[in-house]
Amino acid sequence: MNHAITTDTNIRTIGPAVFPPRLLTLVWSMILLGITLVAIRGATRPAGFERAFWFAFLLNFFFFTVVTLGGVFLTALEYTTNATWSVVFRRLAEAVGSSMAVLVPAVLLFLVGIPHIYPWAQADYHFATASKQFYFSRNFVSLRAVSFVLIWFAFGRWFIRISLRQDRGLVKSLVPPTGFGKLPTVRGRSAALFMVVFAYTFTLASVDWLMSLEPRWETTMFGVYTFSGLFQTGLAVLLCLAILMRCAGALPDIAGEHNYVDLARMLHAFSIFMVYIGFAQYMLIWYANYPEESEYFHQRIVNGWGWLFVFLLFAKWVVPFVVLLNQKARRHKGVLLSIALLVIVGEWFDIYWLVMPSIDSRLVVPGLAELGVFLVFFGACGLCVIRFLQHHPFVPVGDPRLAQSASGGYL
Amino acid sequence: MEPVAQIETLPEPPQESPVIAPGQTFASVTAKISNAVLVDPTPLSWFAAFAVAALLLAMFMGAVTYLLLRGVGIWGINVPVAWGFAIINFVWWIGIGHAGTLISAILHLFHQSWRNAINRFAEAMTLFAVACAGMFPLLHMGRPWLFYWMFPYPSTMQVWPQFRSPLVWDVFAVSTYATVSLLFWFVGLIPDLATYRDRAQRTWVKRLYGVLAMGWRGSARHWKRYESAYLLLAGLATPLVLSVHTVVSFDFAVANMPGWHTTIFPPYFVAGAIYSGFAMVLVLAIPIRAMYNMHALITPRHLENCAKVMLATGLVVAYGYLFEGFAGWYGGNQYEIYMIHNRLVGSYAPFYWSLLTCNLLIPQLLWLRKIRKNVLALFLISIVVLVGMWLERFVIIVTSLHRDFLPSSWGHYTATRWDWAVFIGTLGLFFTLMLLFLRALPMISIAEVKMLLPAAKVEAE
Repeated sequence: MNHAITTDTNIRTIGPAVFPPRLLTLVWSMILLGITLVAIRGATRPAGFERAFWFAFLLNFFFFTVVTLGGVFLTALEYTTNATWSVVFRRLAEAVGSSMAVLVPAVLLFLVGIPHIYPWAQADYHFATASKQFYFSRNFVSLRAVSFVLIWFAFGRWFIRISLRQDRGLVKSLVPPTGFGKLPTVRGRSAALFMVVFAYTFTLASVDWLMSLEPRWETTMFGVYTFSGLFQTGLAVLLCLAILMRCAGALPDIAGEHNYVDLARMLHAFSIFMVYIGFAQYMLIWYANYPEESEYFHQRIVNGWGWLFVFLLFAKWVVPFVVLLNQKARRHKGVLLSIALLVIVGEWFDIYWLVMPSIDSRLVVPGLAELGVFLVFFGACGLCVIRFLQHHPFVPVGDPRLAQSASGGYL
Repeated sequence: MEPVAQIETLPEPPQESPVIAPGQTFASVTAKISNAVLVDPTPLSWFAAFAVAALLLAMFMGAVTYLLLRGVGIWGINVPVAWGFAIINFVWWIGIGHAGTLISAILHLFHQSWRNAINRFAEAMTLFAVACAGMFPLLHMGRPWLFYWMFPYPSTMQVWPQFRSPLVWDVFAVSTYATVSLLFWFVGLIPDLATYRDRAQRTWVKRLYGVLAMGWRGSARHWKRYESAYLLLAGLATPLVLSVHTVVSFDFAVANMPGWHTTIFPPYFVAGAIYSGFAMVLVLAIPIRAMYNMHALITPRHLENCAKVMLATGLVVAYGYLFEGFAGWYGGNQYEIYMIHNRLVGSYAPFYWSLLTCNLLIPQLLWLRKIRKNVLALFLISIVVLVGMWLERFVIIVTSLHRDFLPSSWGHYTATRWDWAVFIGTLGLFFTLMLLFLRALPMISIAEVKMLLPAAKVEAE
């Protein structure tokens, strides 16, 4: 398999992915099913439906922000670090990033839901300081939410655009004459800029959308915590997509064994990062034991929520860590797929664990509303991914590092 | 939709600036690195640097002697600022050590082979920095000869460490880290020590390197075991290096102290450690390559990469500062708000503003490629970062401690000349050890640099 595509004739034959037509039918029916489930929930148990729906919406809105932004982030990461190993997977990351389009209508809907979700959006809620009252005024929060999504969306589009231009061999106009440089320049710089912007916007978004559910609670680690989840989930989604596409026969074998192994190693490393951040945050709050701080975790451990906490520990760290230590496991596509799915499920439940105790002090299992909204989001994102991959070569054929990436020449 | 047929030309692979200058061969690399110690006369600049470093070391010895005679009262520490310089310098030195392990272990795991030219002296730097760091808690004990009370040994006097104190965790974290770093460094040295053994002229020198090389013959079996041992140690060193500064950050973050108790401290301390560590790597690499004419092996690419890591970690540190401020405002805790206010305009405000200038403002110059390519600018920015990171620890420790909860317990901290003498003295200790290392051991890993040569890249077809 090594050196499979070192000649340019081979690369030229790579086209867009071919999907069976019934895949689209499947995705559309998922969306319809999602809407039906939500409707059933509304019809059968109208009491408290509104609140349940909006919390389910917030949960899935944040989860799909993490997933789609994860795609953009991984693209930008490759550009900033000039990585070679991940080039074969970049188009998949871009495909995931392209589904950020779903967030644009979603964030507008989210604005409608704000008064149903947040305690600070109630008329009788008052913050201790006037500045914080202003910060959480309806208009300012909405402005922030919309601008964050638009900024991420714009960056995502821009990365896809330069990548596709490179495919068409037009990139020369973007790159200054060779010399010392890496190929980059434009994309490297815009990716570095994105990293800085992303760090601040994503942290503030996490604070606005999740942390402010408990308006008086704060931790400086929160943005890093959600970021570590994003990184881990981004890698898991990429791994899933790469394996599924390959198993479904939609993609010829471009990526070598080593590319998958490297992706699995990254997932391994960032599962450790995830638990490191989670542990540091939890341990410091537990140890200092300030009532106003530990209350947040207390609420998320008592009344059955602790079981979910333990599940998260296993799904996001123990299982990926132990399994991926094994060299054979890292080479087994079935094992990798299961681990990646477990991590993704873990992330969804992580957000669930952050969001839901704010409305229900006792552990509740996800119901029709959560599942329904999830299916709608999933279907919509799936449509974007499929459309993107149907229209563009599924690897960045114009990237000079592609051959090296596929052959393992970077090792 | 873009039809694939439009692809016109397959672009050339990108031209990177080389990690090793063209024209090097296996023989020239071996000769270059081993002659620097075994054959060539020691450069005059080495003697000049050694004279300065040894003088500072003598000052350190003097200051420590006086300290042992008189006690820690000669330092500026007093309640409420009982921690002063000792902890500031401890954290600073430990942080500097981090870059060595990051370069040698983490970059190794990430297949970043460019690090092969700088890992050896960076690891040496780690060991010496940890040695300097270790001085401070020891001396701060007042009775350093009783340091072994920190270990949970079967004690007849019923002395048992307080395991709930992060300072005890530090003892274990730092000593484990030092042990593994030393082992990692030594294992890496073995093939090179054998080269020195084989090339040494005098018998006693041959014997000395021979003993240290532990019978290395360079057989395939040796290499196989060496490679797996090296990889395992790299895997072991990676979590250790992250845990050390995490535990150091716990010293502060577990305390109920405004400005200390913040959850972001662990990753933020680790980033700050790598930041200052890379600054020290540059401060060492730039003179070393000039002193021993190693420009062919430590190329502009190395310096640029170090600068990029510095920029990235510097941005993480900036994120930490900004969100600490944000959280103070967001949380609305009066003590936190007062602490931030006190940093901005209180009696230590000049320290805080210089810290922001050194750590946040000036390193932004590294965004410019011109600056990253300019050796002098890099050297100066690295010194600025080192100063900035020292100020950061000063601000964290002193501004939080000098304003206790009760105004009646407020105080002010000023370092005495003995504080300065011990601190600057450890710089002497550090540079003396570093210079002795340059004089006696291969400063660049011969075996690993050879892997970067084009001749080593012949693939088994």
